[in-house]
Amino acid sequence: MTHPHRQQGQDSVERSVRVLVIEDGEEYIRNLRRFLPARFELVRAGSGGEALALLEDQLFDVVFLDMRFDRVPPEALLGGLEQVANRFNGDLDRAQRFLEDNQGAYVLAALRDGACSLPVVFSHDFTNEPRRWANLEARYAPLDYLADNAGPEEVSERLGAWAEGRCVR
Amino acid sequence: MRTGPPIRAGWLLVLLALGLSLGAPPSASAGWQLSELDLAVLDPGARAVLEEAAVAEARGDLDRAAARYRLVLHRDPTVVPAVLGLGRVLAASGDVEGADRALASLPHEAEVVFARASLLEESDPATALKLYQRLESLALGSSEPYLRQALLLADADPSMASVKLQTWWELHGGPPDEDAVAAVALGLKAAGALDEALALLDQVQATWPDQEEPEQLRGLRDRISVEGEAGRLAAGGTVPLSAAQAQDLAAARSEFAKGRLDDALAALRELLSRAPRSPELWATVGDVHLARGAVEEAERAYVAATTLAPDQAAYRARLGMLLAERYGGRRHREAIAELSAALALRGAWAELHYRLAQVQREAGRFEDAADSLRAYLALEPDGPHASEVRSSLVDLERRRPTAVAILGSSAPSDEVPDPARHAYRVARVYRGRGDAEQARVEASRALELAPDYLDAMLLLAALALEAGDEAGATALYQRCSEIAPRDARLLLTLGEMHQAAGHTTQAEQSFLAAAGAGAPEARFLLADMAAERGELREAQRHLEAYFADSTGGLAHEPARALLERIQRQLRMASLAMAGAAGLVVLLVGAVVVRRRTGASVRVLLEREPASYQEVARLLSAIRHEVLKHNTNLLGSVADRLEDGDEQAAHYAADRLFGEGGEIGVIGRFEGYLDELERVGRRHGMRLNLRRRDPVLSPMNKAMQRLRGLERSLRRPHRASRRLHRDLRVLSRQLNEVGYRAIGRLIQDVSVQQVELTLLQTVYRRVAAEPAMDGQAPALLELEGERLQAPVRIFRKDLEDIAANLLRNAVFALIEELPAAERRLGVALVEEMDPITGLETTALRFRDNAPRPLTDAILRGRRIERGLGLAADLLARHQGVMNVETTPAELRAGWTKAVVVRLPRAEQAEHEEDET
Repeated sequence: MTHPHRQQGQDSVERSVRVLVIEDGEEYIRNLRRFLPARFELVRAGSGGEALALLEDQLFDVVFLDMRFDRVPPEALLGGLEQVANRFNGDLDRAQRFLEDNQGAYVLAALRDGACSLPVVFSHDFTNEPRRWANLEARYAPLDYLADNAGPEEVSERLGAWAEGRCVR
Repeated sequence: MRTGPPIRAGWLLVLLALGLSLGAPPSASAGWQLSELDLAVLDPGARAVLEEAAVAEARGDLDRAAARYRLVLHRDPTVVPAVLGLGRVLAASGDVEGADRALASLPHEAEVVFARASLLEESDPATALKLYQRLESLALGSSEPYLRQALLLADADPSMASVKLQTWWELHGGPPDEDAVAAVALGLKAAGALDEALALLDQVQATWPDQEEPEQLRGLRDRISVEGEAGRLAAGGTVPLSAAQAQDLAAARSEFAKGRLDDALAALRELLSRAPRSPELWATVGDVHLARGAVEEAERAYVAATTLAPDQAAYRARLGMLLAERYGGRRHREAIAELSAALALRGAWAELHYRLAQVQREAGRFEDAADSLRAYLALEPDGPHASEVRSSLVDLERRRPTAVAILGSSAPSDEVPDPARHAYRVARVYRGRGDAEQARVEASRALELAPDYLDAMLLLAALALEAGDEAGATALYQRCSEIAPRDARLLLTLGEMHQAAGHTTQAEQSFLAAAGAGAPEARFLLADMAAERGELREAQRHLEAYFADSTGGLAHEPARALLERIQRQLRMASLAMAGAAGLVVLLVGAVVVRRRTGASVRVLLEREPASYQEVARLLSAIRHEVLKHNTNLLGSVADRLEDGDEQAAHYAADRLFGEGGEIGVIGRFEGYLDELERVGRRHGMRLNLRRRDPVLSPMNKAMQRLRGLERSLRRPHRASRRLHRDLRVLSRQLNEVGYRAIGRLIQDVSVQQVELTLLQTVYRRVAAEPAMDGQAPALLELEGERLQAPVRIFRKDLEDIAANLLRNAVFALIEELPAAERRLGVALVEEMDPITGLETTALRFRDNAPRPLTDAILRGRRIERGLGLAADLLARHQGVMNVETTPAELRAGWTKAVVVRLPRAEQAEHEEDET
């Protein structure tokens, strides 16, 4: 699958930045629209499925991805509930909680499986999970994360940097 | 004309009639019995009807009895038993006038006349007297009319009463009637004829020298002697105490108050030698004697006081109560006289009415007692005895009410002419008999003759008060006070009237004036009023003044009770205040202690590891729901404000403080703190997150500071640079320092390093269990010994899980394989989920028992094999258990592996705190 995303490093000075914000709520999109500079063009996807669909049709510079999705219906969760339940002795509730808690990773896996190579910035604090971060980065780069305490300036800076190719992890 | 039954038989009728006239209801047991003589003179028809009437009367059917008696009289109006019967049942029905008319129909029948005279003793004593005089001839030789006249005249004309009494005992011949002698002697004494009174008493002794003089008469004789002496003393007038003497009296009272009675008495006696004409001093001497139990001396002293100051109600009351309480009822007649005299002087003295009623009741004077009780209730409907008095009145309700008796009197002044004095005495008698109207007429006549005759005026005022004419009574008392403006008894009475009317201010003024005029009981009344208002200190002051001025009297006991009650209440109030102060100190201390004590979240997690999951969930929620999306905007808000973007402030304010009734993130933060504290309480610990927790306390302070900025954020046009700075500082405190501290807190706690050496230890313990009977494989084969895997589980839980799985495997091996073939092993393996990047630590419990084991079988055997506990413990720590066998394990000879997976606990390298 070919994704018509923009190539990194073009028009690095104050050009517009298209960001695909994938979150189950609307907090990010509201806050970012309120506080990010106007050059950021923000598009929201409420689930992994929506994100994949948007990426089929639109160009983006960077993906801003939440980790926890506990406000989407179970059927919209990527990862296969039954399959995950097997890991928990068939406990569907526990499987659903696991999928919700780690849905960002499943969406990321789906993006990469779909040949989306856009830089993805997780909104999740991996500071205390260095081994996990290393595992993910090794598998899904280009990848970055912003901790939960990151303010709009930091988000703007980081997304801009990735969009402009200034940031390489 | 018919002749009635002989006079002697008639007396029985009269006495029964008298019993009826006093209100005793007829009953079957005490019913009227006709004699054969009564019936013999009647025709058979009248006889039958008369018998019916008697039976009806005996049954208490008064209406029918009256009708049957009337029927007999209709046929023959001279039938004496019918006339007597009709008079009796009418009187019993309360129809005194009807009874009088019936009895008046036979004015020459001695029995009937006697019955009528008895009937009228109360309501019309003058007519009764005339009837008894007529009986002297109608019932010639009969002594009873003389006795009755003596009793009737005892107050109004005691000299004549004395004559009649002497005639009575000449005719009667028996021993003297003690009560009659006492009544007449008292009358003589009251009239100032002390010598005559003593002569009467001497005559009794002389006539019956063999009989021991009754105590009542002996006491009376002593008293009259004392009064005689006191009268001679008083002839020179009372002499008030000098200032020095008053001081000595106060000192003696002080000794008395301290319980040093002998010292007090010695001081008083010495003072008495210097001031023998002070009634106040005599009264105090009486009080001290009484306190020492010297009743006779006390009585003498009180008598001296009342003689010197006959218009002092307080002294008369003391004497009256002494006579009532210390002679076992033998001198109740005198007591009643004194108490009544006191009430004549102070008609509004409610307590005295009550005491008088008690004495009257004990003396069998139930109607008088009822009157006194009613007088009490009229004055103090809510008084301390009101409830008891109402109850007592129910017992007495059938008795005919009469006016409150006034028997005593102050000695008239020399200026009062004799006719006025006589009219006054007659008025008192009428009042004593219940004829208020006649009493008013006579008292008014006395006043016409002597317009400033104080006693008559007081009597009229008392009568007005009883009649409900409060205005008239007040006017009379006012007039009295104009004549004697410093008269303590008047002031007391006025005060009591004001009090009864609810005019407390005027009452207080009168009582104060009375106290100033030398009526110490006014102090007691003031104290009582102050206590009613709850002004205990003032009440105590009044009582102290009372006890400084008084050593006895009717008010003494209640005053002492009141003082004790007030002192008790004051002590309780002091204790309560001290308690309240102590409580405040305790509360403040408790608040301080509470603020300065209490555990942190870290301590909770260390001491109660089982709380980890709940605590971690709440701490994560603080990070994800409070800080993320919210406080992490603070720095940007400050930037926007500097750029003039006020909407950014509004936006942030709504998120931070809430909008439209929704709770803001500060409120949510506090809610999470509350939840954390509840978790602590469930685990038996009190957390102090807001003040003591090194992680959450600074965050809480920052949140409170943030709350303090609400107004500025809601009105950003007024915001200053300081707001920008504060927002940035708070942003750093919350989003950087606090955020990281919470993260470390979650990560650090409860991490257990899993090592195979730990499992080896567990296995040795399991293998040594008696149930194994030495059959467990000697060797636990280990794989991955060099690994150390951090997992978030408590060591004890991990040991329990391992022990259960190992025990289960050993049992299977013992069941299925010979000892030599049994193998058991544990492998420690690290795994990683490729999608989520999450790592797990897997403990593979392997054995070579041939029987297959699946997840379903494992779950089914959990309970019986004790694996339920292992499964529960694992679930609690986010672990999972499966049955798996890898090809490598099969190749190694294992038939299966029960795999326990626990999330690997990651531990970041901590950054230095930014402060």
